[in-house]
Amino acid sequence: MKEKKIIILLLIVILATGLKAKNAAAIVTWNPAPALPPVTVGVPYSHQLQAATTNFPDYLPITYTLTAGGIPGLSLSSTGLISGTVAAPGPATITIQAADLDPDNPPPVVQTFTITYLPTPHALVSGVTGPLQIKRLQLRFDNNRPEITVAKNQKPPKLYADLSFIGSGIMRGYWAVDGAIHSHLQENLTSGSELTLPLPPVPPLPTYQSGGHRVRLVITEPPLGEAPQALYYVTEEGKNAFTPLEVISPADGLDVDLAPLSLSWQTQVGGVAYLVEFLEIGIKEPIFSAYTKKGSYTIPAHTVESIFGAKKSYGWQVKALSDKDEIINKSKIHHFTFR
Amino acid sequence: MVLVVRKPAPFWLSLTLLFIIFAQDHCRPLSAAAQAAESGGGPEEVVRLLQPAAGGEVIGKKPLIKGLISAPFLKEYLFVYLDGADVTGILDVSADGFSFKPAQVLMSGAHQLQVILYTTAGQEVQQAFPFTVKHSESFDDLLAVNQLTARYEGRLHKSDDLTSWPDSMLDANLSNSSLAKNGNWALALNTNIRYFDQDLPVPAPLHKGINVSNYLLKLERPAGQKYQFLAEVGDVQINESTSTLLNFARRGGKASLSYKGLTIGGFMVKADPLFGLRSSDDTGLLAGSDDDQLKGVSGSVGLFNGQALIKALTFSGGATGSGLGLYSAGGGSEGQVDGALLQTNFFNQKFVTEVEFYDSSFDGDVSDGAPAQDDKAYRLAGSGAIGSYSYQGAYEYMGRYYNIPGQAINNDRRGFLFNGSRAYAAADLALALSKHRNNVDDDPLMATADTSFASLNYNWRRFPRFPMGINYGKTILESTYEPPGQMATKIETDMAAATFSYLQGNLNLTLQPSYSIQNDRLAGNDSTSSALNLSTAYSKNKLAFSSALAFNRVKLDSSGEETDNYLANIQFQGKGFKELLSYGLVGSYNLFESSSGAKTEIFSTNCEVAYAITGHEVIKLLNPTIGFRSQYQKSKDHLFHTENEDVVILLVLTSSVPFTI
Repeated sequence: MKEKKIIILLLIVILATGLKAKNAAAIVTWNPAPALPPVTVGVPYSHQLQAATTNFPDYLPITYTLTAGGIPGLSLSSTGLISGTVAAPGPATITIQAADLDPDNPPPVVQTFTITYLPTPHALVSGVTGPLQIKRLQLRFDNNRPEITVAKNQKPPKLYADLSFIGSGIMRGYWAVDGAIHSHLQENLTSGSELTLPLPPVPPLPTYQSGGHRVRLVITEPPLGEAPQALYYVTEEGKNAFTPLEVISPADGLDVDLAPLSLSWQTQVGGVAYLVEFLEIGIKEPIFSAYTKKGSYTIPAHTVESIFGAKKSYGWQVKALSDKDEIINKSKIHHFTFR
Repeated sequence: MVLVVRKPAPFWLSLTLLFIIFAQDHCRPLSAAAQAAESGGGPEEVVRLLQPAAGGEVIGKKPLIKGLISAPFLKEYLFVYLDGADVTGILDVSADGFSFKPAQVLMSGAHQLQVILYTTAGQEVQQAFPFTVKHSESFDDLLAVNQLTARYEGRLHKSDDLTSWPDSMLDANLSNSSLAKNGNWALALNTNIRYFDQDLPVPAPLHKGINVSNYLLKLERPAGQKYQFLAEVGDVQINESTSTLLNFARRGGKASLSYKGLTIGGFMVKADPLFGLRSSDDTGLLAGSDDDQLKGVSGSVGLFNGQALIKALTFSGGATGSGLGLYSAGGGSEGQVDGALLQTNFFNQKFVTEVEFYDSSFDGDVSDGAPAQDDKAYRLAGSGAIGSYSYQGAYEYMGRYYNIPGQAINNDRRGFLFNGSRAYAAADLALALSKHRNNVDDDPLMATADTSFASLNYNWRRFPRFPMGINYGKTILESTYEPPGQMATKIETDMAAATFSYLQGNLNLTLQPSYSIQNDRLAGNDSTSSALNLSTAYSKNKLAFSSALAFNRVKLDSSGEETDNYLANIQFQGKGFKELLSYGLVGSYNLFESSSGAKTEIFSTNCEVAYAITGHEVIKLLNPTIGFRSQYQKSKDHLFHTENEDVVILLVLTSSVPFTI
């Protein structure tokens, strides 16, 4: 009954969003509030403009065009990078247009920036004591690559960002999964460190939808020229379960007599056999295992005597096997102690 | 019959224990039948292995195993073990014997079946039967596990202005995991081959058509042999040393040969991460330009029964600094690193030492015409674990110009670090300390900078339902010997965070507040960061649910700006109707507010419902599903008074065909 309600609710969501949607214009916005750092005469300058489009999917690139007030020595790339070295103070303002690649929608946004010029410093500033600069940012999944393949409804992959930086200051940005903001990040960083930032585990990367998915780490402060992306692909494997196999008995952590012990669990749809594995602390491989076609197993007396011992704790886990040799589900590891 | 412990296998310990028990049984008086059985047959043999023949060889992955029992026996007291695993639960038992097919593929080599039973006369019988498995006439093991999966999306409804969304999309993937083994040699392949097409251009790095997303081909002569050999081609991982290339996953190849503790190896990989295999250049194996390729060799020798290791390595090449998953400041770079390391472990992990020394020649920007710069790095480290204590201490020096091609290391520093931790019964305590100085002593234009860091982390699990942890860290950056005209620097950064959880069955509630302030003591350039996260995760009865509520605030003294982000996420997925129906939904709401007046809201959802079609055998083979997917996004900019709303509704067809060869 509960399932029906959920399905009906989802269908209503799908239909309602379709009926309700109106075709208003998408927008391009500067993110965060636009500002340019000061330009120091005689010192190489580099600044990445940061605008975003609400026209999804979110990988539509923004193009930048200078519409007024060019500064001698500096150039603006179509990707929004202002770079170069100025020999002398120039115009006080410049005007830049940002637009996404959709020619009709949204309309371009034009922004005028005020430029502050600083004199050439008497000495160079060491990178260590200077403002925060990100030297390198690399995304990787558990397999140390920015690309991974996982099965539908299975454990989501873990994603990390390895950061190398110099200088000090605040770094902020957000993780985006398939165009939607997953979580924000903000760190006060001090020079002399490397950092690994994990994607927060909640909510997990969705694995209910097969096909390709895209995760980006967008750093807004200090702005980067590009947002590195990682790809994960979810294969369509209908028989896989996503919630662990439920153990019925014994209760986790129970103390039991050193005698034949019965274990039981809820059977799995598509499971033709079950593998029960017994674990001992400090030993990686199972100390004993058993196969059964039923949702229960009793450790025989002679096995209890020969393999297990009194006053010792053991872990056990049951895995459901399909007729195609796949492990389609498994329980969490439960524990018991023989008195 | 002879009781023999088979080759090392996952259940080696249980077999050993069974062997001990059986050996003990040999010392006890046995029944006549049991004695006859134990002695290896004869006219009174109770159990006889019909398939495969005892001591014989069988060709197959899951061969039928059949035993004949010549004496009346108690079915409830028949126990059969295959390689130590109890297979009684999958037996077909008849009045005169038993048969079964293993539930999983049997690896090639020696196996053993053990039978324990009680006859109706009350006699205990224990017999064991060795046999050998081969997967084919030509190979000991020959196995290919494949999964073909396909997904089609067709537009049912789309907002008119959403011209960037395709009307149709087809996506398919063939994953393959193959193994061929003969004697001491094993050849393995793991790959994913993908097909993608849609009626609009495809965003990089995807391409239309067939593409090999990833692959790894491995030829191995494993440990335990007189010499070991390993060659890998594809998406390999390079592990040279802690301070150079470690878990460095790139496209290319590597090989190593070991003999009596002596190992030589080499690698050649693309320096930047790749997706797909579109040309021979993408293999990373073509010797050519050093612009984006790394090549290296290493040799090592193990001494004192492996308690010490000496290794020398050299590698060189260049990197463009761009690739999937990578942002890199600056352009192309190239360089070379030569080095050596010594590792010892004479005290059973209680005191492990590592000494590393490297020389590098590195050009950080090949386009500027400036020559490469030489520098060095070294590191002396000791670590270990004694009871519940563990520690690590190191002195490290990394020259100002020391660098590694294909990496962005934290160079220009020298100093100490110490990490120590202790695990209590219901708590963990960890302490980290470090102090470093930059290497500008001979440069009058640069200020000396000292960075000191300390952190304390404590996790408390006295009440298993309420685990909690606190963390505090402080970093001080201070300059001295500033050249004329340069301002002194003193920045103090404090960070405090905590985690409070509540665990109840399948429910996990976690609250994580954090606060950090960077105090620029000599200029009004402070920044404050505060965050509060509340997350929930719950899974039961084919339903998994998670949500996260987050508040993030940043305050910058330099601009006087304060920005707030409020984020709410929800995700649930489940199955119903005998697991024929699957569904999932992700929803996200973000509100951004700034003291400068900016305010934007973004709301998005993505949900999918799919129904598995069952019926005819052909349909069962294809595992098809039909479903609907909708993606919705609404955004509103309160400053510019604009808003946008987009929606897509799609028909989704999927299929999945697993097959094993």
